[in-house]
Amino acid sequence: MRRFLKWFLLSLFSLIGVVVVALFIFIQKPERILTPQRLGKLALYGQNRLEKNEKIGIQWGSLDLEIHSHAFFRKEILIRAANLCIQTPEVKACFDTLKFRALTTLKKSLPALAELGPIEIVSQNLQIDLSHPTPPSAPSTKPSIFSVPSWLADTRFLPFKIDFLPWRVQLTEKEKYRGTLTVRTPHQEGNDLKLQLNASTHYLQRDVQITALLGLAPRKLQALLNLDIDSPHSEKPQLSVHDCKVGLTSPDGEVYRNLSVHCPVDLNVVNALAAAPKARKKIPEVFWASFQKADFPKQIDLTIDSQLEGSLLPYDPKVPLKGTATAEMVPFKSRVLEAHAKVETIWNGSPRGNLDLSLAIHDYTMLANDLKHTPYEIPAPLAVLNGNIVLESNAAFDLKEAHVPLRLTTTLHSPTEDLNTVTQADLTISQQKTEANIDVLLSKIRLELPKLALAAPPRIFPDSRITNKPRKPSNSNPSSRFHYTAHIHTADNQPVLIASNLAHKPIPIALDVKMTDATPPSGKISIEPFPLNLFQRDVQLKSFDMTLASPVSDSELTGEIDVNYVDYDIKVQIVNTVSKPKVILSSSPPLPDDEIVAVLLFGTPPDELDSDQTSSVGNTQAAIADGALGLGSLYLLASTPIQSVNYDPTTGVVTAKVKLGKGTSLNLGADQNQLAQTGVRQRLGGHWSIETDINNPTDSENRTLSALLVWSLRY
Amino acid sequence: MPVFFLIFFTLSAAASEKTSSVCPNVTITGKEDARALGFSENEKKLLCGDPDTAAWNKIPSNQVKFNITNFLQDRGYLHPDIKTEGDQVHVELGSKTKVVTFHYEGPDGMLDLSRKRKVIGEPLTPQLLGTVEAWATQKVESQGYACPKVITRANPDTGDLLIHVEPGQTYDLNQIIENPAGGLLPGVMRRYDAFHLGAPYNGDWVALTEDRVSGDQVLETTHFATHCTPEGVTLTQTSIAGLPRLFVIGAGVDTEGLVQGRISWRNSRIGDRGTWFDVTAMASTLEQSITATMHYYFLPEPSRLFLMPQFQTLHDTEEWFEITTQQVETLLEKTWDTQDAQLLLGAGPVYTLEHTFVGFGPINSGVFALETRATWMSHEYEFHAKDPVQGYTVTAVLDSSSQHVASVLSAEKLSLTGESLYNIRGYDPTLLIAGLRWGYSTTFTSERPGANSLIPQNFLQYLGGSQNLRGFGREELPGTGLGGLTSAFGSFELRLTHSLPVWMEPFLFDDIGAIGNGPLGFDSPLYDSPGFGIRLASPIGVFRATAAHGFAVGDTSLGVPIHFQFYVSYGEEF
Repeated sequence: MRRFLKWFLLSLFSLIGVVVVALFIFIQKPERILTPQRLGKLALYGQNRLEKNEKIGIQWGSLDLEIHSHAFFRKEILIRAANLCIQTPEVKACFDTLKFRALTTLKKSLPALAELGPIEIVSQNLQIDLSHPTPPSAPSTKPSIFSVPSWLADTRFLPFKIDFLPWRVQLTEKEKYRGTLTVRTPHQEGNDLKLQLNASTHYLQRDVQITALLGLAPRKLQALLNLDIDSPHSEKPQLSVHDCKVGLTSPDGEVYRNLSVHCPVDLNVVNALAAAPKARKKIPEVFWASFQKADFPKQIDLTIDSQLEGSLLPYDPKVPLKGTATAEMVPFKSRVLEAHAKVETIWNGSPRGNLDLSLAIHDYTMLANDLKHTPYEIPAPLAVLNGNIVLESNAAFDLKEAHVPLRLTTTLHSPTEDLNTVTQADLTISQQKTEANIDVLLSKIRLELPKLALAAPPRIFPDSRITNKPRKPSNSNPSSRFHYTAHIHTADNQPVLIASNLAHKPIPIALDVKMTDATPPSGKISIEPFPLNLFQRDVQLKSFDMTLASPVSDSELTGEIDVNYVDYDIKVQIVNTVSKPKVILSSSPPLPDDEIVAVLLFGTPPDELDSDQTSSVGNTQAAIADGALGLGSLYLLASTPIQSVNYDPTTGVVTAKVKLGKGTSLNLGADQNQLAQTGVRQRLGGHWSIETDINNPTDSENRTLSALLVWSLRY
Repeated sequence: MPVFFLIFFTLSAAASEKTSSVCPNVTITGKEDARALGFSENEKKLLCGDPDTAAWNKIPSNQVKFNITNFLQDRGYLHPDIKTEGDQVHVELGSKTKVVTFHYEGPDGMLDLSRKRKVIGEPLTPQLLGTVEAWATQKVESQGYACPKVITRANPDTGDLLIHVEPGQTYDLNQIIENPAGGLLPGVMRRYDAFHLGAPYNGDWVALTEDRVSGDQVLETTHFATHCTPEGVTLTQTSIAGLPRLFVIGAGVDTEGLVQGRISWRNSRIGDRGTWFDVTAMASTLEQSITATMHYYFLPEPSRLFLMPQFQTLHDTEEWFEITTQQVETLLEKTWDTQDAQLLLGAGPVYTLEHTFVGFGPINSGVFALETRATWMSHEYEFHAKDPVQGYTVTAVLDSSSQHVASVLSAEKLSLTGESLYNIRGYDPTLLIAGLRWGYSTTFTSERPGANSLIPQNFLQYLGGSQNLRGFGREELPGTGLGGLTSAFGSFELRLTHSLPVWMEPFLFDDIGAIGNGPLGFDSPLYDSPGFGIRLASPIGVFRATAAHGFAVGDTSLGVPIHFQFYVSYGEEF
């Protein structure tokens, strides 16, 4: 037993001695053991194992692996490969040249890298295909960190030369990118690794140039970024990021926890939109043309600042982010527009932010001039106004929703017009829906109409019956994500004033209208009491209210006009709906309807009228009874000295002749649709007159002419 | 060859495009120039600006573009090419969009679009849509749907026109609310009703009732407002009485009467039952007359029964005779209306005193007769009286006299006349109207026309003139100047309507007639007068001109005047 133990110990020590000697020899001269031939075989073995187990294919034209011993612990490792290709399901990379050099040493009893470099990697074919989904790999227990490891802390870096000319990345079936990437090591100060990256690619038909100076130090990552997205149509880049400083620090050396960003960004709006076909398609061409012509900001300068703390790299969503991030637009001022915007977010687990926005058109006249001859040219009678329009917002948002209060103020005026309004909108935007509560206060509106002749009004809007659009569904889409309520109203004692030569004083109109995305407009439009000249005398409109309904033609009317004569007071009430207004006549003392109409139209009772006038009274009564007169026609008839009125109940056409001057008159077609007749009556004196009529003047085929000598007397 | 070039240049000029200016900043190029487009003053202000209003002094070119698009829509130009260059707006009119298809959406059988003319091929304008809606509304209302909803919709690209009808329910006429007027008793106006309470509502017959009131001049105007209620249609009648006395003087032209003058005086409302009295004096180169007529509603309550006393004195100069006639009559008359027609029955004594200056027959004659008359007239005929297109009327008059009762002879004179019009294929507006006018008169007496005959001229029959045989002169037949005891004629006319410009409606006709010397029968020859004419429905009345040639078939030994005959008439239909 003792003998066996003796031999066993002797053999063990001998073996340890052999191993120590072999290790000594290996450390002393590793190249004697790891000869290029053996390393080549080792590489081939590794190649097979990788291909078999990991589906990674590696091939090379030539591969040289060398180890040189400079001292007992200083070893130089050289790898030189030509035409090295690596292929995985996602990556295919071929390197024309791959040269790697490292010098190892022993520091504090531990192996360390004394020198790294020169390194030269030249690839003309790097393809990364991420379009095929791959099963998620099991999360590593300890996330890796993109950082210079501590054992590189004292490493001296020799020049790097890494060229990917070109590289291709396919993210999805359609989303492909290609570009170039060069990495160099600039002049080194200290032992920090600094890399100068130059990359270019093509994104959405735009050339993207990126230069970055990366400073890699233990627990610290710094970058100075410059990025230009060129415009295909202009020398100026669409988006320019210059001297953007990004710093990441890792206090524990494991996770980057602090981020600081300071980025000036210049966005050329015109060039950016011009080169973004998808975005441009959403902008109407006419608006685009007007935008380019007007003095709106073509470039927005932003400064982005951020100080964040958390588990940033690798990112761990469980660790709450804290800090601030702001983006501020450098205040812009042009001849027409002033603008300023600032977004500030505070991160305390989840972000909460504020948007301060101020947009002011401070010279409306200039804007009107700029928009001249563009599709957005400001129409009459608003083009002559001057003043300003201000849009302000102070929005608050978090991850769940944004609350955006908007305030739009117009303060516009001219010697004869005012357009002062205050619009306040309260938008609540969430992932599920967007809601808007809008309040429009017409604080002071005074508008002018052109001087219209006493004839049928021209067609202001196209006839809705002639259209190539399909019929609208009656109800709004209930699944719509956008919901709004709007309230349009005038201030107390500040009605909208419409000046027209057909009314001797501006017409005061008060509005109180509400509408939502689901319901048609409701509320009331009222003409406030005002004096006007109707029936050839000064009368008082006491009230005129239109209670809105859907369709608008079904809106209910109530109106009252007092016409006072020496002997009696006549009350004209307008009731029913817009499409079928009914006129109710009453008087004090009571008079029959025909007498009231006679007095209103001709100023005398029926027994003092001639035959023509009596007939006109009857026709007017009939037309009123049938609702054949629209509101506009009623007003024209009442505000015009009437000579005669004809009404055809079969066609519903009312034709009125109005006095233009002494002895002459002009026919006025006052049917609901359109003027039907024009012509002139020339009185010869007494009961004699010559009447000439042109029927259908605009229809050459049906145009008719007549001339008639007439004598009449009724008594 | 010159004719060819003339046609070529005419067509070229018609097809060539012109450039013209509405105002300095708006120019138009097209087959119509700015003047022909006829922009109104108000329209021009929205195109050219209003120098009197600062805010509208200048209209931005885009606004001009919008406005002129709307204005051109009224004129049928739905696809103008409008270009703006600075302040200048140039409009290429293009061509008018015309209606290509015409569709109906609504209950089956309510509208027959194939009968509606002047839609397909017409310029698509809001006015046309209004016309179509009015037509459809009238058609639907005439079927008892008193309150229909009619909507049109047209596609400017395809020219498709759709008319959508929601007729609602059929209504019976439930109630008439009559607003008193002119001091008339309530219910007096019901004698003019062309409709019946409790019967299906018909909008046309309501309009006809209004026309009857206006035509009778009892009231100045009347109007029915229609209200649909769950119980039926309520008509509210509102009337303007007007002054009761009317004095009218007028002048006309007629180749038969040359210059015509007429004076009338009427008191259209005597008493509370709407009695009226009329005196009319008429004079032309051939006829002069004074007629006094009264419609006396003698019953204490409103009624359709009335007495019609009438006095007439007449001087008539024709080719074969010259007479004066004084006639006094008093007829008791009453009217009835069914849903489709009106019947008038009347009977009463008539005394006629006649003095013959020139011609055969007694120099002085007096005839006392009992006259019975009946008229059956369709509502359609009456409704379209101003523009006859459809309907019929038949009138029968029988005058019986006895030598023993204040008469120079015993005789019975029977007159049957009628007229019917037919709108061929029922087009609206009409395309071809066929008309048939006929008359048969015979006098039963033992006397025969001749130099010593006791038969007064009023009992003798003559033909010729615009009322029967248009190829002969007025009462030119028979050529002997003796007249006959029996006459008959039939006139067939075919008129082309609403197809030619300037209201011209050409027509062809053939009038055939015969005269018999004795009662009931006819003698040879048979008279025929084919011809043609033209009707001008001008705004001041209907002018008709005819040209026809008279022929005689059979025995012409007594001499028949064969010649061309021309007539121009004013106010006559058929």
